[in-house]
Amino acid sequence: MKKNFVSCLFVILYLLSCEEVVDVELTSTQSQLVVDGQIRFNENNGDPITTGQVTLTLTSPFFSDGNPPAENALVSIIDEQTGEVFNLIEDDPGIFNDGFPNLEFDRDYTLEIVYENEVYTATEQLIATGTIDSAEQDDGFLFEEDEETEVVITFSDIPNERNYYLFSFGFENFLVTDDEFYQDSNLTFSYFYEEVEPGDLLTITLLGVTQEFATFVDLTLVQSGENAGGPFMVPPATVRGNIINTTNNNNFAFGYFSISEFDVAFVTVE
Amino acid sequence: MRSLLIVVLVFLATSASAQQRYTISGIITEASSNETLIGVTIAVPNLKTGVTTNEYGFYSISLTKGTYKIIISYLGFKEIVREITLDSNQKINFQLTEEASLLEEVVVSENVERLDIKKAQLSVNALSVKTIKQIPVILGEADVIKSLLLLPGVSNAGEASSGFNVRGGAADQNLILLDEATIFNSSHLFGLFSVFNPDAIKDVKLFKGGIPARYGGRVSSVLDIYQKEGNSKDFKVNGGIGAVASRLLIEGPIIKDRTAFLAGGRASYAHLFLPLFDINNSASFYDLNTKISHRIDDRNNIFLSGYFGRDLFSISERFSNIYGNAVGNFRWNHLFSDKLFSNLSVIYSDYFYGLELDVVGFEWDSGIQNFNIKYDLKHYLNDKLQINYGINNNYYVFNPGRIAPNNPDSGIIEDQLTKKFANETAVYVDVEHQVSEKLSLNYGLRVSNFNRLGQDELFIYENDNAVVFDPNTQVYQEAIPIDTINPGRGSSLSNFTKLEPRISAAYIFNNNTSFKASYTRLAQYLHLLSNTNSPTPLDVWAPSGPFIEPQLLDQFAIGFFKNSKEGTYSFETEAFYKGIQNRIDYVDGANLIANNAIERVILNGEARAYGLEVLLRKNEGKLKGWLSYTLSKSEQRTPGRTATADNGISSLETGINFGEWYNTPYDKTHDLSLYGSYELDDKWSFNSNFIFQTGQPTNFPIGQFEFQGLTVPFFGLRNDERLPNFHRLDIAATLTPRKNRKRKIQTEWVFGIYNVYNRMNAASINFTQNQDTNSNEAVQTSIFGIVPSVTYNFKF
Repeated sequence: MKKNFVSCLFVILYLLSCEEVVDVELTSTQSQLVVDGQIRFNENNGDPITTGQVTLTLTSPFFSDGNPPAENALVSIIDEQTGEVFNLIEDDPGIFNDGFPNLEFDRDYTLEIVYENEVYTATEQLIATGTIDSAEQDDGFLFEEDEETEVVITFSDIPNERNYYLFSFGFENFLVTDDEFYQDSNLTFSYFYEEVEPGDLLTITLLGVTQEFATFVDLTLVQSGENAGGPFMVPPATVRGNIINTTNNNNFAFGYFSISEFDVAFVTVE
Repeated sequence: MRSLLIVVLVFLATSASAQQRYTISGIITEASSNETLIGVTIAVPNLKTGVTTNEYGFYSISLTKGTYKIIISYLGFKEIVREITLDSNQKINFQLTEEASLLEEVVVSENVERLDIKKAQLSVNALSVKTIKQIPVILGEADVIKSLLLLPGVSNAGEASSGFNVRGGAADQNLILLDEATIFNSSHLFGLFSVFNPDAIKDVKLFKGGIPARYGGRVSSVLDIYQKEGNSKDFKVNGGIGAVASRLLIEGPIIKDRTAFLAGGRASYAHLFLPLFDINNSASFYDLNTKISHRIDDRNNIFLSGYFGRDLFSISERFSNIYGNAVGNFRWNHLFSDKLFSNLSVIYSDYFYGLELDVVGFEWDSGIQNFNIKYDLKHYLNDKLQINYGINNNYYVFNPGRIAPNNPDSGIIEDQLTKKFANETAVYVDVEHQVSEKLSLNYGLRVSNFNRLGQDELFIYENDNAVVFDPNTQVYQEAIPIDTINPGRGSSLSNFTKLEPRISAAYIFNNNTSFKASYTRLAQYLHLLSNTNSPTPLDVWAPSGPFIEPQLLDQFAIGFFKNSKEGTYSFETEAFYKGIQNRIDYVDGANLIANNAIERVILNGEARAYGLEVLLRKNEGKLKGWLSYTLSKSEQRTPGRTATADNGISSLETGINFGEWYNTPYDKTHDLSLYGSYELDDKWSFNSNFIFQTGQPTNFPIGQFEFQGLTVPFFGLRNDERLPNFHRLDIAATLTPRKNRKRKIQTEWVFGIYNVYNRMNAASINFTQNQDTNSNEAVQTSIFGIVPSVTYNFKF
């Protein structure tokens, strides 16, 4: 056998991976009500803050521009313990910002919507949240150093119970997490913002949520994101929330009604 | 075990009482390397009978006293014709030599790839390693699984997807064996390459139906691959340098003609091809194949073989990922007599997945371990009857995941998700019976038992219902356990026993035409928890148990087979129907990763597939190749259960996809492949393939809604739409320099072009909002356009 051999390597390699916008014909269904009802609460050292917004829109064909508001609905919050009814005020078409009650833990609140002679309800409780201990900018990156800004966040879990949390980072960026692997501990993780500029104010909100809402947000994120085809596609699901049409169960509404305690931290990009 | 011994004794007794016969037996090897050859035909033309060598090159045939002409033939090798006077038992080992020149118009009278008209076995495809190396593939890396995709009934989820699908089955329903050891993950780099180094492989066989009783444990197919034993005559080296990976294989004698070793390695260049994924980081793979074979004496051979493969990914040191298979295997061939061949295998196999995520501060690992002891006997009673029987015991350890902090400051708390344990035992008898000149039968029975052993932290649910349905919101939710128990490892949580009958028959009209039919029942006790179109490396295997029933397949297949008179052409067509009970499906939003109680997100469903396959081959001449076409349907459904609420009112659940049948992601209505190989002269040969497939089922949104500023598309019934049709042409040219003849080192250049006409095949269509214009659009992603490549191969 020849002990030495000379081998040569000659590689021609053109790799083209390509994305292009294509025309696809889609079918569509008749429009349905969409409820985006969020109430947020913070004890604020004895001076509780309650903010809320209920946004009513209608579904639309995928390629249409935006979703029309569902106007002229009657929207109220019912305190199930006292029976008190709080009517919300439609500030803008389909948007209700005012009239929310002061919240208590361990109490059922029902969102009731009367729209086009059908009644939609959802009942939830205020869910406690953890504490953001710190949020600080750092200089790490995942893919592209120039485009990414790292924020290192440390937060503490609520001890002695199973919790689900929703982080809102602004810019329609969310992260759902649960404490299975950091029960009663505090967790530090990095979040990478894209394309933010020095001077921008980043708002990081931590919300306590139910397991069901965590699943709902997860699904919503999957379906609004990049995950719709290819080998790693998860079968898409009709994202059903907690809104029940008590008049006609078949004409269901999309969306979710959720009540969360929140904690917030701000980072100014340097 | 006792019942098996009795079975053995009965067979021995019957053979003793039969008419006086003598046996010719032996081993058939390749002359220059002593490598045993699998599937060599030993034909006795006068009696219109014959046998083939088994996986260890052994054959045995018993005939009445007399003088016979026997013909030993094998693809690409010189035929041996020998006259034998049979008046005593004889041991004859044959050595075959390869046909010297490619240019000669070789008339091969038998052929591993060519179909065997007479055998009852149907739905099987064999590919020679030579063919596998010739088929043009992406980046010039010869690939076993990519080659299989050109056969009827075999497809995958598209470019860069793991695994393969056989007759509309899922990727986890394929039993993949390397030297009899189960391989749990067949792909490197998300399916760009398969884990098998073609240089180290001797034989590849894919059973799509009519699966013999010696196999079990997966319902869709068996891919049975044997590694070479190593050259026990001469020291040999071969290797190749390609666009993404290089490989080197050395083999040679330790003791001449008795002990041989083989060691092969393959590794990719780490950074070369990541521009592909638009990531400035590293991805690579390597694998090692090793084997030592030793002939103790005429009756005993032992083999020690191993495989170790890993994929490595890392992104900016913030994320690193390593996964792969490891297999170790000891086998002992023993001849009890010249009619009774046995093999004992002791096998360890595992799959490991490890992940370190520095941005959150944890390490994660998961995997499966398998300890397997197998004892298989092949009893060659006479030229009409062969009986195979054996016993097989598999012990499994499932690690759904372990998490640990990767630094002292991490808030992650170390946790081991509950490990699961199971034992699977099977005994089988399988008879190959030539009933008459016209009719041959294979029939057998496999009895399998699966014992799910005790574990820590087993959840107990109200009414044993782990998934609850909310009739108001029509959403499935995880049930809250009412108790947690810790049954010891010695206890049994569930025990399943399944009878798996198999039968196939061939009716021969004449030497060149036959009709075959088969029925197969198979049980599968392991499930890959995967909710994606093709498996991902981090999918974990889960055992059947209190909440997961074993999958149970019934498959019927009929086929018509014809060879042209001279054997130049062959034609085969098969129709199949299969139904699978207990195919699990996942509720919407199911989280499968790090889920300690998977029963809370799964529902029990069923699957079915049916189709028609056609394969037309040209086996000889300068131009060889085949045309394969499959017309098929593959569906799945998961109806809602009838739930009785506390108030006594029963309501029907929606199930998944409203309980309607829906296309599986691997439902390809039309699947056409054309492969051709042309030998121009002793210098140049050309290979080409063309593939056309119906687009993969997918989902298009039927509307959108807005939530928290997100635009969320929503979908109708599952997998109702399709991606555009997939088609592609690949070509390759092989240059063998003429100066090779004068020297010991043999070299070869392979020039390839993948996707010649640069078809932008859709891997996916994503429906998203354009971040600049804020309007919705459909974005198609294509993975490979035209990709030229050059590979340099050498051996000496």
